Amino acid sequence: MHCLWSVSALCLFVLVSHPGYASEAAPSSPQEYLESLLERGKENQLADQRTWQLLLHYRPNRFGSGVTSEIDGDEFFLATTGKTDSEAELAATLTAFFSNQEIGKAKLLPQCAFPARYHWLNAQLQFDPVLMPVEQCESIDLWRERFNASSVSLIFASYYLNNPASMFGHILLRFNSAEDTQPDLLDFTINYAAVVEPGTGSFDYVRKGVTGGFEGRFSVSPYYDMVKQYNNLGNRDIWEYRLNLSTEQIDFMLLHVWELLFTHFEYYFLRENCAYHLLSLLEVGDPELHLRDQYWAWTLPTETIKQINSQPGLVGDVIRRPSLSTQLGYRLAEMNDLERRYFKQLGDEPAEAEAPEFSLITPERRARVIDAAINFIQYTSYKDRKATDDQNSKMHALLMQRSELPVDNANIPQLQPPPVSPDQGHDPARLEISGGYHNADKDTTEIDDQSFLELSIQPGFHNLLSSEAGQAPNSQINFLNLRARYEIKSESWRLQNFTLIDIISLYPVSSLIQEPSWKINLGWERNQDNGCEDCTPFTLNPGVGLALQSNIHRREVYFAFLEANLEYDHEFDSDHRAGFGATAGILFDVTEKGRLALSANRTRYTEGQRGYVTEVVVRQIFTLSRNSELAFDFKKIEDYREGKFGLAYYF
Amino acid sequence: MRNCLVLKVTLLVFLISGASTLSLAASATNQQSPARIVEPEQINLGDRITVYEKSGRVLELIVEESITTDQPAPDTSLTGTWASDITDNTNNRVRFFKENNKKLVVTFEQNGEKTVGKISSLTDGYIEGPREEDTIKFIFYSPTITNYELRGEWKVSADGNRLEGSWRHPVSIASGKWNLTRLDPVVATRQAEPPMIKGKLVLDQSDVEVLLADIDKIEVRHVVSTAEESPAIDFDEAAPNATTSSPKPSSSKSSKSSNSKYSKGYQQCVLKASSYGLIPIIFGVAELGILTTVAGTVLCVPAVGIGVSMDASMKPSVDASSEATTNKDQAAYRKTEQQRFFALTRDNLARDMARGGGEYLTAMAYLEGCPVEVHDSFAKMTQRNFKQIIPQAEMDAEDMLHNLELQIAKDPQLVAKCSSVS
Repeated sequence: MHCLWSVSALCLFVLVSHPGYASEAAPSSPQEYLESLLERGKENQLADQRTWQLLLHYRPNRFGSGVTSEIDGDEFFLATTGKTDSEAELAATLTAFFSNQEIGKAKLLPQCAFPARYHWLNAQLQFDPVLMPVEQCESIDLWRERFNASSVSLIFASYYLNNPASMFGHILLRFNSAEDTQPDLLDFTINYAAVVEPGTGSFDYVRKGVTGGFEGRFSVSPYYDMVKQYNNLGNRDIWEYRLNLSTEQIDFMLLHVWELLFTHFEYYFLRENCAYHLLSLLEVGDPELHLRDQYWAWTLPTETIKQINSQPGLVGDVIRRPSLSTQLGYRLAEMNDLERRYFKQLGDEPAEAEAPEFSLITPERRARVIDAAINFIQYTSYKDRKATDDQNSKMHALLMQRSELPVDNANIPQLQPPPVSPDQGHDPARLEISGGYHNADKDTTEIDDQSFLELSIQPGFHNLLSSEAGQAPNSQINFLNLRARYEIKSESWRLQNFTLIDIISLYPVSSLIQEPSWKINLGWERNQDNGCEDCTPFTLNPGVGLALQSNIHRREVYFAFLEANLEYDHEFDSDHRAGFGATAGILFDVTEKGRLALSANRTRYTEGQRGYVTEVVVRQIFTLSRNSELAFDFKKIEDYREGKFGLAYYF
Repeated sequence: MRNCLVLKVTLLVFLISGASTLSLAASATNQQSPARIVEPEQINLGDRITVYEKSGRVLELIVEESITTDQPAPDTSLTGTWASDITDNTNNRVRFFKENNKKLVVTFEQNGEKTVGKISSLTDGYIEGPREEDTIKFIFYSPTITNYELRGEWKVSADGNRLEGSWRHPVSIASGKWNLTRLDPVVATRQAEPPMIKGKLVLDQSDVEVLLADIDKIEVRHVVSTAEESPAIDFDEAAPNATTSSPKPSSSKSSKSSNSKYSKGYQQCVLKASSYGLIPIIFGVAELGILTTVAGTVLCVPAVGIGVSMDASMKPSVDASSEATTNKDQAAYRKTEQQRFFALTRDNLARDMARGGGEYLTAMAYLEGCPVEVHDSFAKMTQRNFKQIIPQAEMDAEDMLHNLELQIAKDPQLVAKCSSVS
C-alpha cells in the first residue's frame, strides 16, 4: 500500500511540475532544478542510451516498436508506465531523487533504492548537491564494504554424473575480495535462480519453467555455501573463470545487483535463465559488451561460457575445482593393489588401519589411503543426503587415524590429465550429410541395392560418440532431431525419424559406486523390420541397465539394457505394438579421436501386433576438429541392411 | 542457555586477552602446575586454591561447591503497565512512532514461556516474544498497520522494573532505542545472595565459606580439567592478576549445551529453507534431476553477513539496521561469520583438521584473524589436537568450534598472532 501510495504521489508531482518552462537563468529552487534536469535528460536522449536501457532491462519488442522491461516486479518502476516507457521512467527517477519518501518493501530513499541509476545519471547530468540533496545510504556502504570486491569470477558448475540433462550447467558470479589473503571460499557470490514452491510436481515444474511461471530472483551467498551445494552435494566439477573488469565496472554491477534484490523476473528455463541474467549483469558492468543479442531461443550456460571466452581479453585465469567423486577417482588411480584393498577394508572397518600389514606401508602412502576412504564416506553420505550413524562413527574413526599421521596431504596428485574445460566443447547444433546403400525392400519388386543421400539436423546437444571435451562422459542428449532421406532410384524424400528427445546415460559401476544406467527415446522413427509397410510409428522406448568399464586398450564401456518398446501407427494390426527387449553393447575408444559402438537388440512384442525383432548396429565416429566429425554406420534389422558414411558439423 | 554461551565466550576471550600479554616461558613450565593467580570463575570443583582475603587472612582450601555468583532472580514477572521511551534514527520517518509521539503505554501478561504485551494506547498493537533469563526477544506487530513489524531485544533490569533495549525494522535501516519503565514498580522480593566460594580447608577439613567481595586474589595449584568437562579452565597460561573486572556470573561447567547457538542457527537456516522450498533451479529440464538429489539441501541464503536475507514471503530484504548497529564492529561480524562458516562446512573442516591442511582450514584460520605466516602452524596444531577438538563422532558444531578455540588459546604463537583471540 505504502509503495503504491508513494508512486502515485510522484506521478502527481510530475504532472504538477511539468507545465512550467525551464528558465534560462540558473535554477534556484528544487522544482526549477528538476525541470532543468528533465529538459537536459531529453536533450541528451538519456532514456535511449544503452546503459539506461540495460539498467531498466528494456528489450526491444519482438513485434512492433517500443521496449518492454524484462523485470516483472512493479516495485522496480517509479513511473506507473515504467515497464514499457523508458522516458517516463527516467523522468520519474529524476523526480524521485528529490524525494525523501522511503519507497518499496525495503523502505529506502529513492537514491538508496536505485544507486546504479543515481550513479549513472549523476555522471551524465552532474547533480547539484545543494539543489538535490545527496542522501547517505548506510546500507549501500555496508553492502559494498562486505563485498570489498576487486575482481569478478564467472563460476560454472558443470554436469553431474548420470544426468545428461545437467550438461548445460549452472552459472553464478563470484566477487573476489580485494584483500589478497582472504580465501576464495569466503568471497560472496551473486546467484540468479527460480523460486520454486515446495511440492511442485515435475509436470508443473516443466510447464511453469517453460512458460515463465516461476519468479526468478537474485540472491547473495558466500562461495563456500555454493561450493558445498554444487561441488559436494551435487558432486559437480566447478570451473572458475576470472574476468578482467575494472573496479569501477565491478562497483557499478554491485550497485545494480542491489537494485535487483528487491524485485523479480519471470524465470524462463530456456532463455531468461541464470546464464541470461548474469550476462545482463556483465553488460551493465561493461555496456560495450553485447552478450545476449545472439540468444533468441535459449541461453545455455555452456554456450555462455564459450561466448565469454571468445570476448577478447575478458577472461583471465581458469581454475578447476574437482568434485568429490573426481577427487576420489584421482586418488584411486594412483594406488597400488594393496593400497586399494586397504582402501576398501577401511571403508568397512576403520580399525583395519591398525593391521600390521597396513603399518608396513609408508606413513605418506597410508595417509593417502585413509584420505581416500574419508573422501569416499563423504561422497556416499552426501549422495544419500544424510549421514547415517554408522557413517558418522566410521568417519570419525578414520579422521582420528588420519590425524595421527603427521603428513600433509592436502594436494592430491592428479595423474589423469585434467579434462578439457567446458569452454572447449563442441557447439550444440549438429548437421550431418551422409550417403549410403541399403538392400532392397523385401516386399517391393526392386532387386538391386538402393543408394540414398541423407540429411540430419538437430538443434542440440550431444551424441554418444562425439568428442567428450567439456561433456558428461558416456552420455547422449538429443532433441528435435530430424532426419530425411533422399532415395536416388525412386527420386523421393522419406522421413527417417523425427525425435523429440533421445537421452542415454551410461554410468559405469565400480565396486564402490553403483548406479543404474538409463535411456529414453521419444519420437517418430521409420520402421525397418517390415512390421508395417512404409510407416513411421510414434515410439516410446525407455530402458534401464548396467554399464561396466575397463581400460584394456584405452577405454571400453560395456552396457546392457532392459527396455520397453511402445509403437503406435495405423499400419500395425490394432494400430500398435508393445513389448520388452534387451540390448547389449560395447563402446570402444579405438584412438584418441575415434570411438566405436557395437550393439545388438532383441525385442519381443507381446501386445497389439506380435512378433520378434532383432537389430544389430555398428557405429563409428572420428572427431576431425572441435566442431566436425566423420560418421560410419552399419545397421541390420531383420533382413534389412544399410551402411552409410557421413560428415557432421556442430554449429 | 543462550545466555550461558555468551558468557562462556566472553570468559574465553577474557582469558585469552590476558594470556597474550604474558611471556612464552610460562607455558613451558605448566607441567608442574605452578600456583597461578586466577579469577573466581575460573575455579573448578576439586581445585586446590589459596585465597588471599583483603583482610590479610590466607586460606588454603579445596573447592567443594562451585561459586555462587549467579544472582538469584528476583521476581521479575513483567505483568503490569509500562511507559515507553523511544528513539528513532531515521529523523522520525517511522510514521507509527511519530504518530504516537513515541509515548506508548504497554501492558504485559506472562503467558507461559511467552511474554505477551499489548500497546494500551492502540486497539491492536501487540508485542510478543520468549523470555530467556533476563533477555526478551520481541516482535512488535499490528495486524492493521502493515510494514510495521518491528523486532528487538530487551534486557530486564535486576529489580524487574525497567526494560532496556532497542528496536529495528527488519527490512530497512530504521532502528532505535526502546526502553520501558514500570508505572507501578514492584519491590524485589528476594535479595541476591552474595557470591561466595564454599570448600574444605586443607588444614583440618573444616567447612569454610568465603565471600567473593572479601577476596583479594586467588591462586590455583591443581587444576582438574579435561577438554570435555570444563574447557574454559583448561588453560595453561596464567590469568591476569588485575582484578579490576567484576566477577562475572559463570556457568562454565558444561559445554554440552544441547541447544547450542551455532547448531541452532544452522538448523534454523535449513528449516527455513526447506519450509520455503527454495530450491536452486539451475537450468530448466536440465535440473529435473536435482529435485531428487538436492531437494533436501536447499539454498540457504545468508541471513547474516551481507545484510540481505529472505523474509517469510520469500522477498529479499535488507537487514542493514542490525548490521549497521551490531556488525560495524568487525570483530563481531567475524564472529558470526566464523560460526556460520563452521556450521556449514564442518565436514570439510574436520577432514582438513585430520589431514593437517586444506582450503577450509585456511579459511578458518583467516576467520580467526591469523596472518598467512601462521596458517600452516594453525593447520598442524589442529591435526595434533584433533582428539581434543573432535573427541567424538556426534558433536554440535558449536562444541567443535569451542574446542578449537580452546586449542588456539593454548598455542602461544597463535595467541600472539591471531587477532580474534588477542
